Amino acid sequence: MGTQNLKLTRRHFLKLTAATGVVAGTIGTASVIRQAGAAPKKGDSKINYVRTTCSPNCTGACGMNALVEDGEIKSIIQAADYPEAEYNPRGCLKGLSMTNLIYGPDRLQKPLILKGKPGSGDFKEASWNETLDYTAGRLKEIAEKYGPESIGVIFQVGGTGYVQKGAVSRLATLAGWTMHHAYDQNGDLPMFWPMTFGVQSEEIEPREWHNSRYVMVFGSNILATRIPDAHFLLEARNKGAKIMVFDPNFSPTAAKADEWFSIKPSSDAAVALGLARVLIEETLYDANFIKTFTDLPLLVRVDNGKRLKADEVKGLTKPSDTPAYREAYVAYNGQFMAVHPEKLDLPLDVVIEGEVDVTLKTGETVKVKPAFQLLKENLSQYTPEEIEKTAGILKDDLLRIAREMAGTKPLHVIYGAGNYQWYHGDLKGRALALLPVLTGNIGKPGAGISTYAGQYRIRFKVAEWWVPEGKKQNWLPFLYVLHGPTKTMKAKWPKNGIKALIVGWGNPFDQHNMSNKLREMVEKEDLEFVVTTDFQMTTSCQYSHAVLPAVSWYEKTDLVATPVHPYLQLQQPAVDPLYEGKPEFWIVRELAKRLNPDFEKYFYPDLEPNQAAEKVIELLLETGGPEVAGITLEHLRKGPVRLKSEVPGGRQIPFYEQVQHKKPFPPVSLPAKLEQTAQFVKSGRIEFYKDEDLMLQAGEALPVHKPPFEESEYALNPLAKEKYQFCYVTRNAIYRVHSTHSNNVWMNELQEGKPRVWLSPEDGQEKGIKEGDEVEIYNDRGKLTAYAIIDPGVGRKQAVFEQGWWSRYLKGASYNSLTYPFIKPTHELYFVPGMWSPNTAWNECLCDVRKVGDSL
Amino acid sequence: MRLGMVIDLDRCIGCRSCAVACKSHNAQPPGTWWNRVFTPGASFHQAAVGKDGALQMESLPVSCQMCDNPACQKVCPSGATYTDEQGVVLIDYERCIGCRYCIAACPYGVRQYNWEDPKKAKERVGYEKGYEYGYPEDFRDKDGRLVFTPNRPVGVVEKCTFCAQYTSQGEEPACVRGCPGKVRLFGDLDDPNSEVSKLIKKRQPIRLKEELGTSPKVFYLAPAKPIR
Amino acid sequence: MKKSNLILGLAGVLILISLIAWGYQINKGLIVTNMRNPFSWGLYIATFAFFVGVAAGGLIISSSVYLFNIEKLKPFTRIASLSAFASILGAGAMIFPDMGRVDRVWNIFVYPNFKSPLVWDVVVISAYLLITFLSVYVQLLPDWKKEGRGFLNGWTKSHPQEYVEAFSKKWSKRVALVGLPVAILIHTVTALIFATQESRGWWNTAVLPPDFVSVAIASGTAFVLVIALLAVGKDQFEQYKEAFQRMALIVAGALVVHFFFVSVDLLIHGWWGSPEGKEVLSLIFSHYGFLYGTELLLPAFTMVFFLTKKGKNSFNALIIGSLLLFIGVFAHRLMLMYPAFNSIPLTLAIPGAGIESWAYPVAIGQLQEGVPVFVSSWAYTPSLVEYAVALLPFGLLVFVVTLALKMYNYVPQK
Repeated sequence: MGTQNLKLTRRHFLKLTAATGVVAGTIGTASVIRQAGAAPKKGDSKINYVRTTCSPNCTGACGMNALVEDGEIKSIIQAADYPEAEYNPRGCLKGLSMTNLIYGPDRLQKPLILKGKPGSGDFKEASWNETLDYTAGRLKEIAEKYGPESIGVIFQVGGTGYVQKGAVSRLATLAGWTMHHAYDQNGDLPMFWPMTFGVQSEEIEPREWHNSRYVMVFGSNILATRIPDAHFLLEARNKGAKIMVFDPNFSPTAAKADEWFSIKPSSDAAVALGLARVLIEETLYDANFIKTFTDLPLLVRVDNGKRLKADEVKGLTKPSDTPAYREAYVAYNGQFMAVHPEKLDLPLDVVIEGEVDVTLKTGETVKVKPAFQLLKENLSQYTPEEIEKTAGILKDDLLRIAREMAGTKPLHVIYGAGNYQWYHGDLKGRALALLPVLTGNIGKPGAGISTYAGQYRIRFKVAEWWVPEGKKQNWLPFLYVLHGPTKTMKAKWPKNGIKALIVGWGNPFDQHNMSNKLREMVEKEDLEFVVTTDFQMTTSCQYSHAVLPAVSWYEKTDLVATPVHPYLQLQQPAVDPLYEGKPEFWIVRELAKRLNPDFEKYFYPDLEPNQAAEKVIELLLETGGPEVAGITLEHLRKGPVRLKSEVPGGRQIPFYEQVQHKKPFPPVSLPAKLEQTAQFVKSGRIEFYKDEDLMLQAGEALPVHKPPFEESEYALNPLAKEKYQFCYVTRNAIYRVHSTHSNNVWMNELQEGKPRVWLSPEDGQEKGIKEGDEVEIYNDRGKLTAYAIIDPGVGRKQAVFEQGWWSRYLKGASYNSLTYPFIKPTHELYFVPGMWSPNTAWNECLCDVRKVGDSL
Repeated sequence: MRLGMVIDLDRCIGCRSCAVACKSHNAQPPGTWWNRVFTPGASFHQAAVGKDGALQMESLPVSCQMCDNPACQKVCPSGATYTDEQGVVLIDYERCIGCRYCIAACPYGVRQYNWEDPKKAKERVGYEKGYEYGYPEDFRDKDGRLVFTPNRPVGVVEKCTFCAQYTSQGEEPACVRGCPGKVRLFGDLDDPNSEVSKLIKKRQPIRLKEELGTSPKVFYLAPAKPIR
Repeated sequence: MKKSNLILGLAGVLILISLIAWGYQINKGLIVTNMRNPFSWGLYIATFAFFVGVAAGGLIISSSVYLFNIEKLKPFTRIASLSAFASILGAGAMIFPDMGRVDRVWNIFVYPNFKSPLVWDVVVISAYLLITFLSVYVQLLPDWKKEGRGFLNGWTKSHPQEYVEAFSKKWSKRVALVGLPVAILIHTVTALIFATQESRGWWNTAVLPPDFVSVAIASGTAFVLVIALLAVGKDQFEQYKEAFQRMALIVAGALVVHFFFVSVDLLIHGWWGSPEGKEVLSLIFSHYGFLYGTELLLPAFTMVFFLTKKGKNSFNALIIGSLLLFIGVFAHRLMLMYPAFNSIPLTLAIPGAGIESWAYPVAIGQLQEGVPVFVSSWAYTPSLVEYAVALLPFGLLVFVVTLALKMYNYVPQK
């Protein structure tokens, strides 16, 4: 072995990597076995490589090869088999150490039924039959007593597993349970998207970053949170793109950028509006683009702030083919014209500035202004001097950046999730969207605005599997479960509230907003029953009445896609389920038949779970629509397959069709129907002017900067302003995917197994806190302890905590006990699950810090 | 053939995936790391270094530097540490007497000792009974010397082998394959057309503690923002 | 000889304790020590180096008798050789528990790497062990012949007493003369184990070998002095006073040279003012100030004391001075380790951040609750097991010396 002198050039390696043989195994066990490297040698014959997809909730969806011997995964390495070499090798330290979770000490071994109090850890081991009977029995009781809609279901983001998660959706729909959409539950839904573009969210694929020439990163730490994609950013930089990072803190991403601007927390809207003002003042904007694709030429009534509708104007009528969910508005180029909401064909001589009188059908004459004029007036307050005060960016820098970005195309704005998870995250996004839109950087390679958070997006039609026979589904934003119903809510509140929770793929008792409240609800029996499926004994399992041992993504079959890269991939079992673990599909099917014998037929009762999963994949591929047209299970077995798109080369460039082929906004956001999302942008255009009453009342018709905390923390408790002056920022560390890997031994070796709070040296000095000190972070709602890191890159008055630690590392507390489920009224204007919905503002949270041992 | 590695610090994002890939594929016991990534100057990895207005944060991965003049090999009394014909510094796990002179001699802190039976250390972590991670087969060089085994004997020194168990089969080391940033290049320094050789010529490489005359075969390309 | 039995018994207990501790260590691994990857040599190697140092005395005394004609020391050549033999035996024994795989130590002999100073040390220490044994042996031959007993001396049966006496005299001288360079070499080579390592600034100095020799002359002579004092007892102190004083003078003289080397070494470490040099100085003077103070002040006291009348004129003064010196020299051996290991070789300057010396953390090789896996210094204090194991050379030395003194006559005839 190893005696021959191999010529180890890189090309040789690549050839070897590409030359992977494919052997189909027996159905139900390892289906695809890949032999990496040279021919098997003596002693190596027992080693197999199984290609699967890593699927925690990180959006990475990285192809991994498991090195399997004797039915055990010994090691994991990137599969590096994406047909586009640029995407290889996707993967990160967490995925590479997944063996620690699969074979680790917290692995659930048997079904458990709670004996003691919730959270006590006092369980009895039971058989599957006993536990399933018990669970189904309790769920039936609760459904009978309170109605099935009082049973809430959390199954996190769909993209990580269309088959197994779809099974949950299928059963929840059949049973009439209420589903909580993960995208708003997680706070990942950037509300500016539906408000401005009428979509759930969009992003250009990381490979497109290569085509950008000016990249503005607002509060996104790509180097830590997008590890497999970060190289695209650095490559773009080395190809000549300028990387500008705006972040209160000096992040690893800031360190690699051309320039970093330490702006004040949540002042991004001010920066964007200041830049937009310069773009307009200096006429650096793309006038043709905004006339064609935005609502800025549309007229707005000065008297009531509403957009002028064609039907209101004397001599104009709404085009007869205007769909019910659209509205025809009015523009002016010397004469008034009805603007067809499905045609982006306004003449380029349309007037976008000034004021005119218009005679209405009622005979009344009112003053109207193009939205652009209003925008310009609105922006006049954001002078460079003012922005320097508000955001802490030098006025000369602001002017320079505005001129640079206008002259350097394509421009790409990356808006970080941590940054939009604030109360006014929507306003910041709307303001930031102005930058690429005003400069015409939409729908083109390397251009646009992207938010990269959440494997939320359903990338093809899933209804055939997820929604049996087109039955109606109940959805409720999870925030209401914590906050209680509001008068203005559009979602339907179950008449008895939520009385039971079915949890899978999630750890809400650590990870959700006000986790302590959730725990109290169980302790006080407001929540009468919680059942959790997981492969590890998480904190949420501890608070559950029944715990059903599932399996990791190395032990089951599934279909995976992510918004972040455009590949459809299989999950294939590398090993048989450990202990008594079962794929969720099986658990759901067993529950289904216990709930109602009629349900069983919906879940391929005759097939073993992996076989059934393959059937479901075939079904999904057949009925998934144009994105998966022509893709078969056999293709996927050979490796990842690019989803189809209308963009030449199948590239993922949002709004390409709108801009290149003048199709009305929005494109479809699956799984919603177009009429559900088109109502968000009735003009069929990119909308910056929102004339809904609530928007007008809130003073948010146009993007504005609103300082943090005023409408949230201070409104809740005016004393907070004095008492709590630190922002409690919970960011992602490289060591965890939310709370997954919190207990990964190697991840903890790398960080001493200690939760940390990052403070600026000035704040440390003021508070008498030194590096390594145990620090208490607290407010009226909760507290946690962590160890201080004094980092000169952290901005003032911030307690930055790296999120995801299980309670057991935090003396039993959840780090989310400090947060509050604020609901912004404008987020209740419409309700489309996971698309227009109240969502969590994790970082809208004030606190104070003190050294442990210091008195109050 | 002289195998060497180029690590492009300009591309390194400090994610430590290479360290973890290395740990897993080489079955390193708890507390043992052949490959480390730190932020030089920082008290904690990925904390900023410097003061207001002049902050920096670079990452530096360090594993065995595969010296052409390896102090560890010269001090080894029993010849357990040796350089193979491809220039790779290896340890014969069956020859090592555990004197740890090499640990004192190595300027890079890469040598790791098995202070206890690794099996026991792994058991304490609480893996499924009998579970062992890492490449499962022993690897012996052409002379039959044991330079990789997933079950490391107690009382011997271990370190990076450039993944002898993989490179002998024509595969790249785990850290190279495991690096999502494509930071690491591995190849033949004697071949002027290899990518490593070309990069070394093209971009001024740095070697760690070069002043000690160890002549490492791991080359670092300096982190640099593009100059405009 | 009840007293000697008691001492033998005590020495036996020490050996037993250390063997039990060693057995425990073999069973559990070196994890039971407080050494870890960043601090990989500790008490064992320090103790080894200490015993190498005291082993010098024997041949220095014997050879000076022949080389410099210091007849006054002649009565103590046997004791000197015995103490050297016992010390080097102890030193050699101390190495074994430090080996993680003592079961494979034979690999050094089967596959020796002659570039390794450790192999050189094995050679010279083995040679020294042999030479000191021979030295004792040839000096005892006449007695054995006379008393009709002995060890490996069957061949003398066929020779007359005079022949054996002459043989003994001739070979004692030859062994002493051959032994002297070997005595110098064991210190030189032991020092070279450290001094060759450019990675450790604290060690990497050409002054280390000569300094080791000077310290060895001091401590080795002091050791012979102590054994001789104990062997002859207070009663006969006056009779050999001049010999003792001569030995004290050698000790003091060697220390003068030692302090000369120390000063030069410190000056060179400090003068250039490199960050590494500064770090070493800060480690020895602040962090390990107490230990370093012990290393400097106790021998300095002994040096001065032995140059005074008071210091060299009484039994107790000589004993105390020597003991203080031993403590100082032991501290010196420990201080070989602390600044060397806690100044991590891979230190980097961070341009632009005002950081000139940042130590790249090392994995300790153990995962334990509450202990970081990566450290840039390791607060080493020997564990109880290490202390117990390190009793081995002490036990051996006391045992061998006491047994030898009990069995044969080393003390000069009245």
